Amino acid sequence: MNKKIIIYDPPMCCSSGVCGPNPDKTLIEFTELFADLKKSGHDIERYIITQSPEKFKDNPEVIKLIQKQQLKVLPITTVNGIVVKTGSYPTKEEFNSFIKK
Amino acid sequence: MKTRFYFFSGKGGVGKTTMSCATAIHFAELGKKTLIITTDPASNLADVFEQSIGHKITPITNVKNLSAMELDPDIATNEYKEKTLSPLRGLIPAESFKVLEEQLSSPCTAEMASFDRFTDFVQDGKFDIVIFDTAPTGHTLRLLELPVQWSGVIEKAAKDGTGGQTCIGPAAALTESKEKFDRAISTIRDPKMTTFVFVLHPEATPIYEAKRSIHELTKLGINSKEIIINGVYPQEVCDNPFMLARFIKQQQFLQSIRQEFKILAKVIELASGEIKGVGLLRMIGQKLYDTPLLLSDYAFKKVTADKATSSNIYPQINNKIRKLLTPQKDNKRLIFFAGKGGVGKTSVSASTAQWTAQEGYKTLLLTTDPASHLKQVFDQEVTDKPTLLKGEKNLWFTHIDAKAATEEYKENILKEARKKYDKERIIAIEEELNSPCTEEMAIFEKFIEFIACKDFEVIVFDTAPTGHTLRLLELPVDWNKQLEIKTFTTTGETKVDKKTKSHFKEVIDLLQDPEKTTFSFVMYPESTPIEEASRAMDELQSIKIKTTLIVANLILPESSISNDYLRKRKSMQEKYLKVMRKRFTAPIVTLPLLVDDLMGKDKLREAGYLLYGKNKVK
Repeated sequence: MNKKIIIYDPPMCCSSGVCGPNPDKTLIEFTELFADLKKSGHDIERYIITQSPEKFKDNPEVIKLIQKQQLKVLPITTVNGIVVKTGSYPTKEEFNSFIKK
Repeated sequence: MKTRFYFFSGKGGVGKTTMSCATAIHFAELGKKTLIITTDPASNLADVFEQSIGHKITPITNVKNLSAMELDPDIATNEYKEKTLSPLRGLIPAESFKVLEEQLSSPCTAEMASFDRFTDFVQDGKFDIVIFDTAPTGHTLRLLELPVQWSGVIEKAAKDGTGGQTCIGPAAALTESKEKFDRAISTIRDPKMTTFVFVLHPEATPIYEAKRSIHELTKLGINSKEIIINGVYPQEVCDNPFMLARFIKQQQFLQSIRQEFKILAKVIELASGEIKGVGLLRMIGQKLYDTPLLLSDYAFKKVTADKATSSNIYPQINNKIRKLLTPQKDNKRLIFFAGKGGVGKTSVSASTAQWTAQEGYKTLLLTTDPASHLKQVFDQEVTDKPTLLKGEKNLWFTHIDAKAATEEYKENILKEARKKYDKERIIAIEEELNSPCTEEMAIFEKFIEFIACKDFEVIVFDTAPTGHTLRLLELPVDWNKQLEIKTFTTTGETKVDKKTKSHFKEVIDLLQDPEKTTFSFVMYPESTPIEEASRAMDELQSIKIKTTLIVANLILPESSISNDYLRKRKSMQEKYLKVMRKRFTAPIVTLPLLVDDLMGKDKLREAGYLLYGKNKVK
């Protein structure tokens, strides 16, 4: 049974963050990891807050976290709708544990 | 030759609105159902047609078959922002909401909103002819270049499943509109459907820029292009040595346009006053389409003139303005000159640097002008290291190659990426780096290196960052947060990261301090340039940067007014100078139209005196 993983991204103009004044290496790496996972058939989605706000609205837990901690709580990772990580992107190892659990 | 769509491009103030209105009236009166759309914030369509128009398609009552629309980029952007963010309004804290709004206030959003309109009309068959009086060149170019990349990005994103996110927020909705965009692209590439018209004045910078734009369009597979050379002096009004010298200059530029551009070019002579009203526009329409004066048929006039002497009077040195140009207390003084291309920013910057050097301050002139041009101006090689100008003791100059800086910036990122990712991924990253903000960011990073430099008392910059870029740098969540993430998720925080992080805050503090930094706008006294500058100033004000000096360039000198035609032009300039004084709180200095190009340090020094006055003692 595949688990549904969703990453809620902070506002940025692109998924790799390279158009900023100081592109984030982790972000580029994460984008790569994401593409790999998607290719290997995992049920995984990514939403940027400025592009898919309604997806944020769909998860009350995500909205609650933003209400408490502002945007710095992003990115948020959820597994089957439950928040498993906030404030930074998961690593490959973390992903594996999310899927297995 | 007639197509269904017309795009007019060119810098603000060259007569785009006039030419597109004349074209619209021409087709409407031939019985074609015609629509004219302007995105120009200074649009005077309402004045032209003597009725209110606004952000909707409005039939023009005194021209049969003609409708018009004033597309307000702010309204379009706000509509888009509202549409996108409304699900979150009230749900998340106000502070966070504001950050999201700013992210969507990028130039890309405005462009996207405007382009979206074009795609609508491609599908809509209600009009026989649709004319776009688009915003200035750089903007227009990106607008046209973007969809080509977009459709690629969307296709790729859909294929590799990266979520379809492209560099531009607004592109989110595009997956559904891909087909619509493809159709728009093939339409603008089809020479039977679309014509691009470049409107320019016969001057050096506009010719250079038009050449670049035309080249870009050709690269994008757009081949149907025309030029309108507007503002050519009629020979009979050049009845004094000053105007005659200007006339000869223009004839030389016309000749070089004929040699260098292999596309249809029409010549329109400069009118003495503003062109308003349907009658005058109909006349321009006739000149454009019924009896066009083609540059290929233009009979060049060979005239010789006596050496013109300009008898310009220097203004008195104003202490308030002097304070803006010189270091206060122990601080260094930074002077930025902002304004559209072609208004004379580089000349004004060079003259200002010459003036502060003359006043005894060790001055650095930092410019993004092409090195080849600077070499001509100073008659000396220019490099990316500060060099002392020969024969001067205080004036140093250096050059930032905008293109090279952008490439370097991109390369830095791609270098890392290439080590890890496959080719397809690299292409996607490269595409995202083609965002319009990249060049500005790359140049600004170079500026920051020099801002820290302690060797100079005055640094003069011939371009300035826009409010949008500075706001982005200021955003708390945005970049700083991304940098923080990096500090604990990766071991190797590079030196550059740390440097940049501390610098952004420092630099913005510095730019906001009027004791240390002067933001100046260069413009000429005409309606569109004033509107454009005014908007850019508001943007800067939004991050608490005040414009403290205004330069009005190309003012007709009193000594050159020898006939009614020139008198009319002069009184038009007077009218707009008055508008500027009313509109702007910053002091205004003027630079007269000069006989020769500003080449060589003697001419620059003279221009400096004309701008700011001359000390009696020296």
